Amino acid sequence: MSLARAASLIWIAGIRNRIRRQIQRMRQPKYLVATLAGALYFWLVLGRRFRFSGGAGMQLPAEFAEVLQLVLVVFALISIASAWVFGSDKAELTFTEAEIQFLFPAPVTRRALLNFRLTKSLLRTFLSALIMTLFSGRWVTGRPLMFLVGSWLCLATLSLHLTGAALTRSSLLESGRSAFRRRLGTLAIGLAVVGGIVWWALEVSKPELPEVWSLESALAWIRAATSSAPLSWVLYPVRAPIRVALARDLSQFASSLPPALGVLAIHYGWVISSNVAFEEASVEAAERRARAREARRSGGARGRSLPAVKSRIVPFRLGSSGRPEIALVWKNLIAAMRVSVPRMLLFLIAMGFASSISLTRRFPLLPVAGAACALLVPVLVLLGPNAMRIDFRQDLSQIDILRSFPMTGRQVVRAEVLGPALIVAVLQWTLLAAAVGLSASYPMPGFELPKRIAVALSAALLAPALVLVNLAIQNAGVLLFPSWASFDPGQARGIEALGQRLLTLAGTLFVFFFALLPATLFGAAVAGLLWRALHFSALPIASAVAAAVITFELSISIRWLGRVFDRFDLTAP
Amino acid sequence: MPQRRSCGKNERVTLNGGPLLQVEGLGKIYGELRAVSDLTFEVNLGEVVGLVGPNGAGKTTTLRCLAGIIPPTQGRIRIAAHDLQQDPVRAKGELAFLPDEPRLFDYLTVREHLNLIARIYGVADWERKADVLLEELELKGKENALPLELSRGMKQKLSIASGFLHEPRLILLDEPLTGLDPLGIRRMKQSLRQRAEGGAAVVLSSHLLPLVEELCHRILVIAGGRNVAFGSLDEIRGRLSGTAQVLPGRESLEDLFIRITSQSAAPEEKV
Repeated sequence: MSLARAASLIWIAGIRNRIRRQIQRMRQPKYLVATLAGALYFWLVLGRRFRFSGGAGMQLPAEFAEVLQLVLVVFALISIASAWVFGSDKAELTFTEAEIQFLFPAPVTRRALLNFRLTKSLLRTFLSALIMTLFSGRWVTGRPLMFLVGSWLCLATLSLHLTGAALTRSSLLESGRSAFRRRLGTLAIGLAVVGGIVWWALEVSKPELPEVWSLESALAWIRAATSSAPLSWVLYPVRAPIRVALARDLSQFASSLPPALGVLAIHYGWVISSNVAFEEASVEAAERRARAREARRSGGARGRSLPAVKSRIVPFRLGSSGRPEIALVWKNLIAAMRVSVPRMLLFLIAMGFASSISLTRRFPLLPVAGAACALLVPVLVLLGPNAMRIDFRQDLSQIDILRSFPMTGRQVVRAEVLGPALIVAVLQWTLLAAAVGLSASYPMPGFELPKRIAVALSAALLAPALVLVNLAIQNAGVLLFPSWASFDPGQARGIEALGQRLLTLAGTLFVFFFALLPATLFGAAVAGLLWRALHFSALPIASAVAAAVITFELSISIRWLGRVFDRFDLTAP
Repeated sequence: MPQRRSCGKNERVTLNGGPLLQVEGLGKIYGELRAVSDLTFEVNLGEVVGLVGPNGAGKTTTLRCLAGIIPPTQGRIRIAAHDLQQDPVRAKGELAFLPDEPRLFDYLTVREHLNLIARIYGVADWERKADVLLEELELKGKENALPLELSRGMKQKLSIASGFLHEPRLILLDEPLTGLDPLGIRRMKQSLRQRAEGGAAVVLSSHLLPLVEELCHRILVIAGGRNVAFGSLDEIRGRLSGTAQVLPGRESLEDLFIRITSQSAAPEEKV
């Protein structure tokens, strides 16, 4: 069997089996609902507006289309330059582990393997082009089909160029040039060429500078500068496929298609004629991807390969006697301190800094910084539990180990929720203390320091309770719909995954606000009753009542989730 | 109702010579597939029982049910007289489960893993016991390493150390030698023998039939999720020869396994 037939078998069988599996999954209501929700969203947002047939739709004005072309040319040039200067020194071509296991030792030529890889890459770029067309094809040129062909030609040519650059770089390295010298050489040549061309364009061709700068006059100047040789020759292969994508009518499309196909063919010839050994680097790259995938499955770092953990700090000394769930809290705090907290602190500092900068023009620095700290507290209620995933979301792949521990489900659930809640609560309390401290010396008429302290105290009571609710919902999602949260090979993709995310978001918001309803009613009632007598001092009492209601709700939910954990069966379909 | 407290050693139940593990009519169904069906056997203190069977026979499912990781669809499991469904905390406090693929927490160091286990199982004097295990399993000097910094074999050894730290009376092992080097394999075998001699009951699942033959007092052969033979090697030989006698002989477990499983080969049973 030729490799071409084998490849078509792999791809066709793969697509067929994926569709078959998707249909099988849809026999279960949870997958069916997710798929339907995803499909509905896809249709409402994109599909309804998209037609391949029919006349021209909306078009960008000519000047904007020219600006877009310029932006795309610049983007392509940057991609090409960075690939040559900063790209990997190894001729890594992307093959899956299975392809390496079955195709590399197979009796096929190196050229056939390269063709297999290139065809796969061209098919992928077609999918990317299709997605681009769905999102923007109709409003850019009004000719989605022409845009599809053109954007595919752009992406395919760029992809071939990057592959060619990788192979050529590797070839230079094989011929004895060190990586540093090669980079330096490439950079020097690139700078010399760009400098020379720019000098030629500005000094020799001398396009007339506009008297008044406007979009039209700037475009006219750029048009004049880039249309004269030799800059026009250099830009020609970059512009050729872009012109196809941005063709506004059939005649423009027909005239720009042959040069673009020619550029693609030249790139193909360049890559296929390369005789650099790519096998070893490709095997290494596949192994790296496999390790990263394994790290994802073991719950590490939410889909990325695990970062280097240098810190060995522990939150407290764990004794061997006492409540066993404290051990799980301790474990999760360690995980948080080693990875999540540093990231979150960076995020908070960046946000605080950004908001302070934007406000310091009008107000003094200290109260502004205090206000920024106070604003971050509600941000943490919503974003903290999403960032701190050191609970069932991280431990789902370790559920076998958790299930074998001599602990009740309730103990495990309580411990899993408590770890991230503690971290977020400490951050919130620190921010509130900072908010009060930083604004203490700044007079705010009508909002004096005692009132600020009362509000901060109420927030200190309420915010951690809200975080706990959010965390309980996120963890309930994992226990009730583990297949939506896991990193199984058979996990949802495409429309189903989109539907799952939408439903999860909608469900989380609904449950969150539903859970807060009784607490809001009780808290508001207490605040209303005491306001006349205590004014701002009523707020901490009302918050304490609301927090107590939330805690009661949480204790019921955790008891229920504990029973879910006790019955939990990850192997269930 | 599940109990809250972890089960310390001082709370252990005296079995008065009864079996440590009792399995009655265990069954597990996944969707439409019956993975394990009506499995009944017992394991006594000091006994090593081998669980063998072809791929997909239900060995791992059985072990995961015994460890309380997945709930059985039917049947009853008692560990040290505690019903695993009714009193899971006390039952689980008596056992250790070592999966074929070590499942470790990415962000905990070697020693922190042992500290975690010590707290969960309430292990007194855990640091001394941990040092002994680390020495025994050649993990000395790696105490502060994260799983990411360990080789596959080292991870397996850490998983073993975590399993042995609380001195379980029932040890459940799924392919225990995977990833270990020859010296590690020898030490693991010695360790299992010593623990059995010290009174622990061991159930190990493996495709390495010479290992099972060497270590196990009794062997449970399962195929298609069913018990197709259970007893000592000689007893199984006797049963296969058509007599009820114990027949010592030269036929190895491998020969017997192939005979038994080819006789009982049946397509996966659907519910």
